Amino acid sequence: MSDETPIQASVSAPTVVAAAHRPPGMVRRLMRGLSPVRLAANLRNPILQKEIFVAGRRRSTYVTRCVVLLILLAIVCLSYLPTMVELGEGATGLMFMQRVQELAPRMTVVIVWFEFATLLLIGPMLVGGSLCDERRSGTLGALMTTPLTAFQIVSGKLLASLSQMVILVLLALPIILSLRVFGGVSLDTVLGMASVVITSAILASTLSMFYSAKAPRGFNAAVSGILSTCVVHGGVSLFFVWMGAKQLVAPNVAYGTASTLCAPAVLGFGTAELLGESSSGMLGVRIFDLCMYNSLYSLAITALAFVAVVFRLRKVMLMDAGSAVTFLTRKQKRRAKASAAAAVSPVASYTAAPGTPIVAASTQDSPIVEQDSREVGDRPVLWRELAQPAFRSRARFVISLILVAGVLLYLNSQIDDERSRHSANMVVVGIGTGLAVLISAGAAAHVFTQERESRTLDVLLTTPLTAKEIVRGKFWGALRRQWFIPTVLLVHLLLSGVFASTVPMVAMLHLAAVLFVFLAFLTSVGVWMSVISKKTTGAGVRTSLIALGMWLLPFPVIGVLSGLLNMLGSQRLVEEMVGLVSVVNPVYLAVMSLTVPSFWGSSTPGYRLQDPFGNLDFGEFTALLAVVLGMFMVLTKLVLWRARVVLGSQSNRRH
Amino acid sequence: MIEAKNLTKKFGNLLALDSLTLDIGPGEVFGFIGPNGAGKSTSMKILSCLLKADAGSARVGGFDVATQGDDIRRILGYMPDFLGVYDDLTVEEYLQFFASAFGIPRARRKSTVESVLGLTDLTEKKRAMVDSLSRGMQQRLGVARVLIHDPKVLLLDEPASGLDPRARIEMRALLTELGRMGKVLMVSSHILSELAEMCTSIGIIERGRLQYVGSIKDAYAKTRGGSGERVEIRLDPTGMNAERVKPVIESDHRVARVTVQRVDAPDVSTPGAESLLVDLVQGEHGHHFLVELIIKGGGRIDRFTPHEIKLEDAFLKLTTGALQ
Repeated sequence: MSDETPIQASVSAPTVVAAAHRPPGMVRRLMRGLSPVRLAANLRNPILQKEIFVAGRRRSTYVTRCVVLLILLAIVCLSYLPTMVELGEGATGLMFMQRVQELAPRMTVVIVWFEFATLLLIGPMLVGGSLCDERRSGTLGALMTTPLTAFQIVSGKLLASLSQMVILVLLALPIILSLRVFGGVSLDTVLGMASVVITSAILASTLSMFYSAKAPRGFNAAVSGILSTCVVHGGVSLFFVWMGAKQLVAPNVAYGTASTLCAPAVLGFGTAELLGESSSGMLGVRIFDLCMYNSLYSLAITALAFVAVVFRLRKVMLMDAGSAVTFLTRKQKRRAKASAAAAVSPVASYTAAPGTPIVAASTQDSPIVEQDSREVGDRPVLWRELAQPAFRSRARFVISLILVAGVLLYLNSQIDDERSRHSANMVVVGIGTGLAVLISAGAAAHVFTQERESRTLDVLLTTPLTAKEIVRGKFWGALRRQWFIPTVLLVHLLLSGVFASTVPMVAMLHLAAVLFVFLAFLTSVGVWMSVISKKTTGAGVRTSLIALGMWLLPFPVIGVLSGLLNMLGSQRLVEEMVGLVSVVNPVYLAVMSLTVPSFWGSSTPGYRLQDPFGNLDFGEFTALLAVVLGMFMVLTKLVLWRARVVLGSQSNRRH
Repeated sequence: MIEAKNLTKKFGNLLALDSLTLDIGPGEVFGFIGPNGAGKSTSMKILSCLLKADAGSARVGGFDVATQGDDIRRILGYMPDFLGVYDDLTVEEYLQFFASAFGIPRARRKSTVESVLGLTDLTEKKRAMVDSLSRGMQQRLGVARVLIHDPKVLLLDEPASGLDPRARIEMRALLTELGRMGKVLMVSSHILSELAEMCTSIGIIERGRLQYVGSIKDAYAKTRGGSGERVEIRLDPTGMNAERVKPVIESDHRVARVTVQRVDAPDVSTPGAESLLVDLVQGEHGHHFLVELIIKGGGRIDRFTPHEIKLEDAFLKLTTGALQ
């Protein structure tokens, strides 16, 4: 009997062991990874702890929170000030309470929209550099030597950014709560809208992290994440609208789905509800439910994006581990293989005989990638910057071109009358200019920070090149790399407008001037920020904030101030302020450049601008454009001069 | 060629350089030694006009680093401790880029690049992408870059760091040859034996303060505490004992001090063996006269070992080992 037991054990053991060590399936691993227990265990994740410690030490963390808090307080003060002025000293407490109840919905709406815009920008910026910065600095390799999984790395970084966002949301909580208590704002609606805001920001952050695994710079990843969020919310909704319009789906279903999937639309319904305008009846759904559907949609896409990030990071880690040479294009890798195959061991001798080199090449294992050398020009920095492509690969360029051409061709094929074509052109130019400005904010943010990060700046600064030569080279290189969108816009207008005689050639010139000057200005700001910033993401964020501050922020500020100004009987002043800030806005000017009513045989006499400019004829509009663009060109020169001075003082050189 | 007077630099509360004073003459190969964070790189960055000193002055090739940066850059080649490279250029383009930056005329640029490529044996790699080169090759490319404008002064910050032994030997040969070509070299390194072989003078810096500057021989002497070379003579017990021989040796004017000690080393087969530690006077390098003196005193020599002092000994003696 005692002899039989070991035999039984030896027969059954391998089966048991094999069953125990069978790797779980992908779905099971995924479910296990997303289980609440696993997610809770992530709170002890070293990546999460490290990210929170680092964020806690960073000055920018506290500056951001202070700025958000100050803006929130400014919103409250500016909203409340007119009431205080209007009621005067003789007002009773009851009168104040009544007025607070009137104000509460409007203030809630402003705060919710402000949080939406802020989190949608800050979330992706926080995580944009999380993976690509680690990859570039080589710390991802160190992480790979630990037992940490890609899942833990991604979840740790995402949870850390989520904690930052929660703090930003909590900053507004006291205000929202007091509005709820004293203003009687519907709790359901506020909670629903807050849920939409947070889930949209999480989605944008996760998508940014997806791009961060392969992007060269954090700012690029952040912008890609924001644009992808726009596509997930806006693009998909537009697709349903299109299906509804084409009767492919029942229109009420299509429009309902489109509204539910689009976060801004849901927030718009919430806004209408809070302001007392009927909206929920339109879809036959409560606003709270609508918000929950949208939040679930965002979370579902977030979960998919999260899984994609984990797989992508794992792939990147394996790729980096397998190759000492990172960031090679496919073409370079092919050449590397060919070179390695054809490599002949160099002769190793370090005896300095006459006519022979002092040293001899060592043998090495890493593949050497070879390319034909080009002749460097007399302005080396400009030469190198101009030699850098706008797209990271030819495939990307071709795909972008096909996509853009496809959309524009489809748009044109759907238009049959001139007025619709003109409106479509304005929409295309508006979106295109906005996109060009957004990309421009990051186009030059890396020109010095990247050199600083890769330690080439010290070497460059030991050359006798003047600060002017360096800054100018960087500026023109960064500006040239932005050629794609302006070219697409101009070619589109040329084909659909000029040749079809719906857009005059002069409008093309106006548009070209607007695009060139504003992109040049933003590029110069990017160069300046790059000189004074340590990291590319920081430079990109600062440039974006300057652009937003100049071209977007004035409108909500005037909106908030309008209550006060209207009360003072300055309705006209509000309109004139809107007109003034519009006329320095690139999107507005680009769109207005196309409105040449006289060319259309329209009854209106000329360009219809906002007050105080009113209707302008061609000459007046051109003069106005010349003044505005001239002003921005002077600003560009000043900003570049400032960048030169800072760079010069950093390295003790002429500027 | 390089003069620094009371150079001081602070980073916040950290005193990175504390009144550094240096004078490196033409044709010198100066080794700059110090622990990590001692202030070597900061000194080099100030001398190459990449950092401004908080106090003090410095001149390179007669030009003031504070006001004549443009003139200094034309005669100076600086290689930082970590060489960053442009990953989108080939080796040839990289060197052409810097040739152009240094204002070398287009007609001469190609031949200049070819010559520095030849000097550093990178000719075969001229079409290789810079980022695909090995670390050793990148370091050599860094040397090629600093030579592109034929500078009179070279500041090389840890040129051999991270290199394998073979690449290190190659680098040393290259730097020795540059010294022979009459260039002023200021080289910082942790590999002290290499510096000892190629440097004509050294500076030892610790916590921002220059602990020693001068020739390597003087550093050795300082390490010995003012005396010259030391010789250990183990006496055969069959001859006269050490105490008898000692006065004979001491009577010579070339001998500073003689110490007798028992030898307890495990390899000594004869018990009771003794040895003499003879310190020669400073500047005295010949020690063969000691053999004659011992024989004259009736002693029999078992082993005669001149003690070599290494740069490592000097470094350990002159620094306290404190890190910043």
